[in-house]
Amino acid sequence: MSADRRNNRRTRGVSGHKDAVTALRARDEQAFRVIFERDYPVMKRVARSYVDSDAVAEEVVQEAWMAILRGIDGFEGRSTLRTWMFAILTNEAKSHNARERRELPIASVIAGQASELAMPADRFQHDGEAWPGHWAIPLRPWQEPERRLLSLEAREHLRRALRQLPERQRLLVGLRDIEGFSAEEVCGLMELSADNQRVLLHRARLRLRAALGGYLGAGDVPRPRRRDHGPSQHRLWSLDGALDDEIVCRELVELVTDFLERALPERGLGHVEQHLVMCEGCRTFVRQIELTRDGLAALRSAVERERR
Amino acid sequence: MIAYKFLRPGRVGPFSHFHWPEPGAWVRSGSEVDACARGIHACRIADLPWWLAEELWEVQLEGDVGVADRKLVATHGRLVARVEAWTPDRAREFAQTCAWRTRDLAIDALVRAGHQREATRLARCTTLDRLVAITSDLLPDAPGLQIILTIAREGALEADAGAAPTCAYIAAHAARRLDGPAGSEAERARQSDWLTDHLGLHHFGPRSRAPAPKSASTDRNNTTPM
Repeated sequence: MSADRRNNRRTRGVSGHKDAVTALRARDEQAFRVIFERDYPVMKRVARSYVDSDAVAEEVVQEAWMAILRGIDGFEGRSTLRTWMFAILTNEAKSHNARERRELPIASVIAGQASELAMPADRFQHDGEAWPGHWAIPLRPWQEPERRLLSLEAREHLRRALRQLPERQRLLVGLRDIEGFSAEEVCGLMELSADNQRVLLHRARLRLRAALGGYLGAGDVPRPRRRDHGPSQHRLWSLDGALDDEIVCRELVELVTDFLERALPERGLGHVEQHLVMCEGCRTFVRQIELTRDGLAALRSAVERERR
Repeated sequence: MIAYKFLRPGRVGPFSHFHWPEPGAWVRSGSEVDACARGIHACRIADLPWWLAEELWEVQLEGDVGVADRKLVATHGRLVARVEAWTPDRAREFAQTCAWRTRDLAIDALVRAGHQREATRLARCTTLDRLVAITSDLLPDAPGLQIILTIAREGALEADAGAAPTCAYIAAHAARRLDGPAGSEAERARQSDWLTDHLGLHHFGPRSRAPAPKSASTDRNNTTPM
């Protein structure tokens, strides 16, 4: 776990939580300023995901803070202070009519993305080839990723890629991988089921990995022209692993976030691990997703330095 | 009980990245065993071909020991001794053995399809380089045979690179193409026998259950497997 993430967790720890509640109840202006400045950027981002403009988002945050200060004496401590604050924020945001466009049920968002391929189909072998569903051309490892991820240029690549994500993916990956929120907290804040949270996170990380790959590596190599076998009929692996006793690379790409989040059932986890033992291409892929996550976490320390 | 465990160089867990302590020091994972998510993971000899890595260790498991899909999971474990016979050279030898097995399976497929002449040419190969060349030259008209030759060629190429886990998988995959899941299982059993013979491994049975060690050197109460 990175130092940034540990620090982030510490600021939301139990002692900090109790101190913050006491200070806010005492109307301690200095403590209020510290908490406000710490949380303002992420609160604005959350609000912005519900409303149409930055200006309205700022207004929502102001209103949320008014509500927080009004309600702090009644705060019962059944959740963390931060979760409670963000619940108020999202309620305030929802009360604005301007967010109508975003009131699509999340299920429709997920459904829309379910057909979005994580990787071009041509990256994998088709039926009629030696290894259906496995990499057609193995991934190339990135060049010196640990060092280069710390560069200003890499950060700018990531930021640009973040800006190009669909709004809810951007918000989610920002909360999880930059701000260090837990999956449970984000589900509460964004009103997502655990499964939908992972789907959105998965899509976001894959897009960011591809963007980062354009900078850190030679990019994903297109497959040479070949005889067209048509779309692969290879079965999609079922989560209970009932269909087969192994998975292929294409399935691993789809399962990587569940794997890293330890959200796979026992049998599935075993299949992923067995696949990784023998598949260098998939080990490279998983490592690249981890590096993408690390790069996002590093953005937080950069943001904090800029704030100081 | 005594079992086996593959680790990355430096006694590092392949997935958990857990750094195992010196042999003899107990590691405990908490009170409950949950395959994959929590616990000390190890292998029976039959499980080894699925989990190949750079270092092979003999491990002692105690406390609750469960059998999961191709692995054992226990609440307590410690490294006993490294299997010194599993060296990079031995891993390469194993990879090459798998590549030649894949070649044999390709020959079998050619014979079954009536391509005796091609089968004979393939059987005459004596080096991996030659195997790569011949599998590229042979062009039987049936797509299924082209595929098995491609698999044999890739087995030879991976063996040349010393990729033991990949070669083992390729041989099992080839066997599956010929004889279905039973063929694949038989091939994995054959690989396990090779490891037993060449590394001097023992089929340890479960010993009488011992109480969990009281002074474990390392507590692992997280949710990460080792």
